[in-house]
Amino acid sequence: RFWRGGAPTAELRELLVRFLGAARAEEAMRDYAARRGQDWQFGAAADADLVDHVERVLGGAVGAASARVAVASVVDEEPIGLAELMDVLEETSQAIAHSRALEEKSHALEAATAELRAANERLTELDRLKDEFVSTVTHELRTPLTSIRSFSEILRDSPDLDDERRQEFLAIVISESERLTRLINAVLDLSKIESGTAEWHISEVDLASLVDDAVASTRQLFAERGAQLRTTVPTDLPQVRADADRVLQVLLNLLSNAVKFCDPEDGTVRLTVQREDGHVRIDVTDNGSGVGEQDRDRIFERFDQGGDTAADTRRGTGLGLPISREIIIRLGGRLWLDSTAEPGARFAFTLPLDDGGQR
Amino acid sequence: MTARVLLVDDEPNILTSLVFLMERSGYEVQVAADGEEALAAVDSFRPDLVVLDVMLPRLSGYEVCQRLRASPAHRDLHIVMLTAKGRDVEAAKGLEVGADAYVTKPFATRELVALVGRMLEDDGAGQG
Repeated sequence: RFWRGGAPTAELRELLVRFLGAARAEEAMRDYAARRGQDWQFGAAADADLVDHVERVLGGAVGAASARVAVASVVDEEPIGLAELMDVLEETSQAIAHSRALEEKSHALEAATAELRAANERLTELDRLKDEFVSTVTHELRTPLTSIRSFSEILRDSPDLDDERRQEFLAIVISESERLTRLINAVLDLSKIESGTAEWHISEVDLASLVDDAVASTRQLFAERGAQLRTTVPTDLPQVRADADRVLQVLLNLLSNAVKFCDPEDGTVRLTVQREDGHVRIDVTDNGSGVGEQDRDRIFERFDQGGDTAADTRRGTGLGLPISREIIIRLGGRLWLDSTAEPGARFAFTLPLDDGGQR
Repeated sequence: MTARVLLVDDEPNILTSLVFLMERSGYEVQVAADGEEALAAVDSFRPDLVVLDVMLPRLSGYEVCQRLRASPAHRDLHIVMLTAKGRDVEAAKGLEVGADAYVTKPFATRELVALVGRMLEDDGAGQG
């Protein structure tokens, strides 16, 4: 036992009340009395045994060293030694370190909560964009469907229709069905590319022969519009690692856009391929009225049909440019509207020459 | 007197079908392809009924409807809104801005013709 001297019981009780509160102090005193026997009573002076008990109870609440110092202040002839003081300091600094650690943990928790909240907000935003996309897709699909249904019903309800009108209405039903098919395919294509489930067949691609394919595929389209297509491809062009079908898809999209928007009287579209630092650059330039300042960002948005006029017989899906841009990004290049070609429009894209950035 | 119907849609094929349906019903018809054109046509053509698409360039169908309803001159004008967005909230909004009816695309042509017929008939009864 550490204590030799006694202390006034009242002062010990006061210590307990101060550090534990009245109720717990009383409980500690009762415990002690019970331990001493049925008839035992507290006297005015506490013996070393009671002092010891009070110290242990206090120690459980404020730490052993602090309890000892507190008790020492009321015990007779028990001066506080340097060792006890050092212990108190030690305990205090431990308590401070502990509280710091707690504080750090609480900061980390706050940061994690903020991160979770941000992630949740991003998810909500993605959800909203998805909803918006679905809503727009629905709108886009209903539009050709409306014409198909209306003209089908008109044909059913009008047996007296003259042959010319009948042919005209049937042609609308057919072209709107084709438009619906193009739309469905484009939506599926974009969603496959974006979700990462699209298959990529990467190989060494000869751009010159790809350009030849694109020219052959669009010959009819250019003839219909009475427009010219001029291509410039260097003979010493290195091969690029890419997906040939996907690059062809982009070329066809840009060419069909260009022929749609080139000068209606004297339409000319130029396709040039050139080697630049680390990549090959392909430009498709038309001599139309160009893309207005206000439309420059919009044209890469889904379902934006900036410039498509109501009179267009073959309306686009509004997904060609967004899909083309996604494809080129996946192939490690970039696709953009180069506004230096005014008054016409020029779309440019790059494909990397080295393997860096390839998927 | 032949009733006048203004048809507003930016889809030329849908417009063609609406023109055919309304002319076959014996109405005098005019068309507009965007919101501003529609407002101008209401003033010049003075239709009894407007079939108004919601998604229009320049000025949406909602805005056109709201502006028409704000003017006492067009109090008796019937407005049938057309939309390819088949959501209840869209329908509620259409009616809120003062449309008399709200029709979802694709629509049954016979039903649309019947709806327009009923609205214009009510006019005839009111005048007689």
